[in-house]
Amino acid sequence: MLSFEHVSKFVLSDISLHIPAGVVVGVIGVSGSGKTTLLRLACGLLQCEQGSVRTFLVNPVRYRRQIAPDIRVFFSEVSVFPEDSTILYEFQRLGRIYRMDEDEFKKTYRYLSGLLQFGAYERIQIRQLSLGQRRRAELATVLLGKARLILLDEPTSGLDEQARKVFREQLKRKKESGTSVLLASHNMAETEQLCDRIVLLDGGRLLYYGEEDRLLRKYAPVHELEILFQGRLPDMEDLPLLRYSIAQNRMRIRYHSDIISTAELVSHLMRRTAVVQINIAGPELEDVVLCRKEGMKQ
Amino acid sequence: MKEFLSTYWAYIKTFFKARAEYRTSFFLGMLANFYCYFITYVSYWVLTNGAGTIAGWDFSDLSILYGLSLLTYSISGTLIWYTAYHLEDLIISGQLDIMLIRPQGLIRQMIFQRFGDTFLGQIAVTVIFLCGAFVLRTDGLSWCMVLYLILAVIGGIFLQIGSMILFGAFSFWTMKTGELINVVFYGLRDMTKYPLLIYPRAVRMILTFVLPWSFINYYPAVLITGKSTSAAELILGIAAPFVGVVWFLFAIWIFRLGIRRYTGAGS
Repeated sequence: MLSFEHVSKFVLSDISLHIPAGVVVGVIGVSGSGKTTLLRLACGLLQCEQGSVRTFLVNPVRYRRQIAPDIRVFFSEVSVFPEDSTILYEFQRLGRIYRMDEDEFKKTYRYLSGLLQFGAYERIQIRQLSLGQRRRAELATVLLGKARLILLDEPTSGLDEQARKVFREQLKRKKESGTSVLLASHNMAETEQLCDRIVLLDGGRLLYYGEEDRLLRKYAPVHELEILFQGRLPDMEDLPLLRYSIAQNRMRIRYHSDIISTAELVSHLMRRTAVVQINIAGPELEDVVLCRKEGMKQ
Repeated sequence: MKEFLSTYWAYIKTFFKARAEYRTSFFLGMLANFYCYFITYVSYWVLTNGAGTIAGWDFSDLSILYGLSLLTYSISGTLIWYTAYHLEDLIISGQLDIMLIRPQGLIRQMIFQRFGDTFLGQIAVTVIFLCGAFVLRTDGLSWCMVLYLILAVIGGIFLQIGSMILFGAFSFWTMKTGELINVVFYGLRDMTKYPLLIYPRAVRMILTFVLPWSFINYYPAVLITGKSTSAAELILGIAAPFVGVVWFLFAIWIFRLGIRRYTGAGS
């Protein structure tokens, strides 16, 4: 569906990856790591300097118009609609651009406007709407019609939780019908919930492409362990921990599971105090990016 | 073409339905334009003292001269003026990128994005004065001339749309030069409000062979009012509709080069 081979452009260097149909791929990395460039290359807005990009097996720059019916994009920093227009008019225009027939369009529009609740202000000039109001309708444009590839750059910033949830569900439905999604986001919780695979970019290099679990094991083996204890304060001696904190009879420990295993740590604690309860939290996607950030500072 | 026209008609209907809530600003915009151009026609009346002439052109001749220019300009304006003139803003805001990834030509999208409703005022005032001018003229138009008039208007529309597209296309190369281009383009075009005859030879050559504004109105008007004095004027008059189409194609070509440059497809 989408493949990059040794692609270089701007900050990106030597990116190779292949995205099959029906997969949601999260693109993560700190600002300036090339997330947006990746998306722009995929839809043919940028020509790569080296390597080759293939979208639906063709060069997306040369065949931009031909692949356009199957692609939807959303860039959060660009407002989709002209200020002096109205949502209803813009959607009718899009319905024609994507050559949807009248009934299909009406049905889809009614469905989306109900779901994301922008029907109430569909006839008001867009300049009079708030960012959140616009955003709901703008995001709905990527759900209009039958797309095979959806490219999203920070799609849910400025959206409330309810609308985010609705949007996520819609994306899942699109995925089930074979659409692939490329999602660049700073919202890690959302990326975790939605994505099957992760692309981790770091300074323009592809550090990781694959399933999330392996990424976490590889790049953020940070665990957090919390115990409730009774009796005396356990002595941590010189165990190789990242940090720990104590509040009354609750102790919180962060550690690298590569360096000290959870079993080792738990048995150490059991020997030194009476443990009432243990909670262990695995690494999160957030930690990967945080680790990269710390890495960059060093 | 047929598909374009039927789609365009549907767009206009949708556009006006969408704007129904903003009727007051729509009528105010139209009224302002109507008034502004009404004054220009009145100025001809003043300049010719009603019955006099400027270089042999009386009030009705001048109305035809200016009417051809304004009619073609305002019809083109309803189609593409807003988006062509603001292409620079579309580039800066990134909206152009989104338009580029839609399965419809950019120029078509520009036409359908915004109907130039304010130009309706100009069309109204021009139709009034053009009709008035033809009524004032005692010698009626032959069928042949009516046909020529229609062709000249169509050619003029192509020339005007071409110029608007060209005007917008400059944004692909340079930003923030809107004012300069405005003066070069439209400052010179304003000269065609008066018969080309009154200008020095150099100006006449520029307005014919460099920026072909005089094909919009001067040469057709010469033919229609039967003022041609030389074979050259006659030939240029007959060529006018074709010049419009060629200029339009030239503009599209430049526009495409601009898009190529913008997306870096060339490099």
